[in-house]
Amino acid sequence: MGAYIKGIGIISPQKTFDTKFFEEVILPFTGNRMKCIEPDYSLYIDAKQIRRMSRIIRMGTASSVKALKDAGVEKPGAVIVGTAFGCLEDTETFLKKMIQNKEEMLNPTAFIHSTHNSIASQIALLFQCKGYNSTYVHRNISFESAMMDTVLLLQENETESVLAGGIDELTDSSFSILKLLGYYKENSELNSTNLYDANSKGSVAGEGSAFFLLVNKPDKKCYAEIRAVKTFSFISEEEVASQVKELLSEHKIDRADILISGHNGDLDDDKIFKSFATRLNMQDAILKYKHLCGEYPTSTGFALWMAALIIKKNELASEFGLKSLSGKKINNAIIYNQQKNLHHSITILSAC
Amino acid sequence: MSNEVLIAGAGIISAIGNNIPESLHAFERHQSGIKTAKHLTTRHQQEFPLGEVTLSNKQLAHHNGLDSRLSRTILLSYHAAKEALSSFPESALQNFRTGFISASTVGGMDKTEFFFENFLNDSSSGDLRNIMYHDCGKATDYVAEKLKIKNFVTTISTACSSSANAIMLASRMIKSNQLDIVVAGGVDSLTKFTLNGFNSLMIVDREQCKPLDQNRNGLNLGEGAAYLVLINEKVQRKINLSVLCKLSGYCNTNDSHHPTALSDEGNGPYSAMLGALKMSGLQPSQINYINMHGTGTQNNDSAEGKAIERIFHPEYPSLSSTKSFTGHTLGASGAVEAVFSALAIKHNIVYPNFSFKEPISGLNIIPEMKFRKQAEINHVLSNSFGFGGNCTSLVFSK
Repeated sequence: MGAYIKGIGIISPQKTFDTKFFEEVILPFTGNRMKCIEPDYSLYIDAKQIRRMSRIIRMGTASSVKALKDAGVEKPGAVIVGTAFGCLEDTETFLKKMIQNKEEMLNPTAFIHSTHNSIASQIALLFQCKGYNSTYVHRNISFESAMMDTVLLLQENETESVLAGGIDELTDSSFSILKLLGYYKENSELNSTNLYDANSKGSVAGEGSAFFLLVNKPDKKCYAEIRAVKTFSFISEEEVASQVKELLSEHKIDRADILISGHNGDLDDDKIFKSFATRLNMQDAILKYKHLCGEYPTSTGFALWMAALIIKKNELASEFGLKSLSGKKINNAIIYNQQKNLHHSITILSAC
Repeated sequence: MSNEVLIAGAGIISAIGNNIPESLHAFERHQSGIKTAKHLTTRHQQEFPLGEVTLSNKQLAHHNGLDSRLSRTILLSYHAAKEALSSFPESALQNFRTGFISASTVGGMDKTEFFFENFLNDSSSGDLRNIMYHDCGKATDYVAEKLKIKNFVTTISTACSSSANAIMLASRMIKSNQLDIVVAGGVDSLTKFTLNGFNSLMIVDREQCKPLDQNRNGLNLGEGAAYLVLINEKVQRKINLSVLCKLSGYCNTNDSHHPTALSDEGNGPYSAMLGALKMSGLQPSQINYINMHGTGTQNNDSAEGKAIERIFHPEYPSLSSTKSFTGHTLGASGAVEAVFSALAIKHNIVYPNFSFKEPISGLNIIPEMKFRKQAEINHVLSNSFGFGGNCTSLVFSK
């Protein structure tokens, strides 16, 4: 039993939802904050329900509807979501009211939807999906944890299909707090062409919602096979690279064709990304993605969508800057991400 | 090779005790931990009794050699995880593939709510040390690093079933040969945010809660942390630990009915219990004790009771809700009750409900009223159901 991506729905700072992103001009950014391009939700969700949903629930729900439609599947067997920060907007709303009203006269709506699991449970409610349902909330490996669980569930033969997603929203407050904590660069003069050359700390803020319908048997519709998802915590980058090499050889892959790498423009983080690519001897096959979606904990959802599309179409947009690979068949791709050398993650994909 | 997952350690802190012996002692003396809070500062302090851990942040920090400015969530989590590993040789954690899977719903909200007060007035103010702990993964990371666990770390948040799912994932990762040893469980500390949230839903009892009673009037919020150490047989053969029991079944389902309420018939709970029983290969009649989710709310207790009736009628095992002693510890409750369930098997005991007068009308669910030793407790079913319809049942066996 394997795990195959059959449907995708993704909302990001690029035109990934309603249009075919690779064929459109890639949207450049300026400044230190990238926002999602949101679709007309009324085309995907019942109008009455939209009003009751916060922004992150709308994004998650619409991406899910799209992923299922793309796969031609009516109802998934399980729903698994990764979100580091969960429903920030509702959390802030309730927190604010609680402080302003001095703990009196509070409306429960924001509280109900503030819980991290409300995205996965709203999706389950919408599709009447009574199977396995879980939510992972572990920093920059939240989405990878969800994907590991997804692959395991399909291997266990518990279900034939899983809807898995990585989602995080940026609010004005979370942006300013994370900025104060040093996660983002200064606004001035930052743009998509100089993000990786800035030679300074911090990155550009991003957000997104990427949902995938995965099945345990491949068919013509499938984008790619997920061969392995693994996370590494609190070990040296050297040890990570050697374990990744072992994992690749377990899967009989000498050298993957492309390395989708989480370079984010942060001086220290990018050193690690660079050295990882060197250790895997893949310096000439690096594909960066955070200038397209920004830095956020579940950004690997965006990377997985890119990998799946590249493998399926067997083409690389020229904007990705990998001319050396044009015309070559892309059989395998790996996605590598890490933050502050704490949690590293690897995803290995192959053509179906 | 059989593929059993053994429970080789347990640790717990809640309103009824700072460790396992104190917790068991509280049950034996029939002493509830639900009273007026001392540490949580809220204008509702006198209004709602809470299941608050007796130790202050300072005491918790001092006891464990930690910084008292850490979030209460971290302090509680480390305290319980350390007890779970107390009889475990430290070298084993390094020699085997080890993981730490925790669960939480509030994360560092106890610090965030202070930060936010200042931040609201001026978005450049607020002590950043108080926001660092906000996300749920922070506590897991802090504790994993302290325990020197480095192969696998993650955090689950599925409302009140969070830590039951952490235990379930631990077992699945051992069975699929990805890990050998997993410390799994969860933590939640009391916060103004959760108390006011549940109060706005009007499901908090102003007195000691009365789970499973016709006149129940809501839940008491609690706090705590609990962890189990799950190991495979390879580890057991190598280091021969004293094993409490094994995890023989689990099942996670979604009720898909309503964001904050279970279906009247308890469909999600019904399929979670049935799935866990099926996996363990047991007939309902073989279950000796059910540690119910039993929050004390109108909705949960009647839906859960209905689901139990559908499976167990007419011969019910002993059952009770230990939340009548600890309060509802939210994301920690699945693990708190998993620890109680594992101990029930090890010591052949049944836990009481704190109080009980009248059964829920139309249901024949009568909880245990006395802490007692029984000839043989071989199989225990532990239920955890949460907002969002997240339902998980675990079965522990001798």
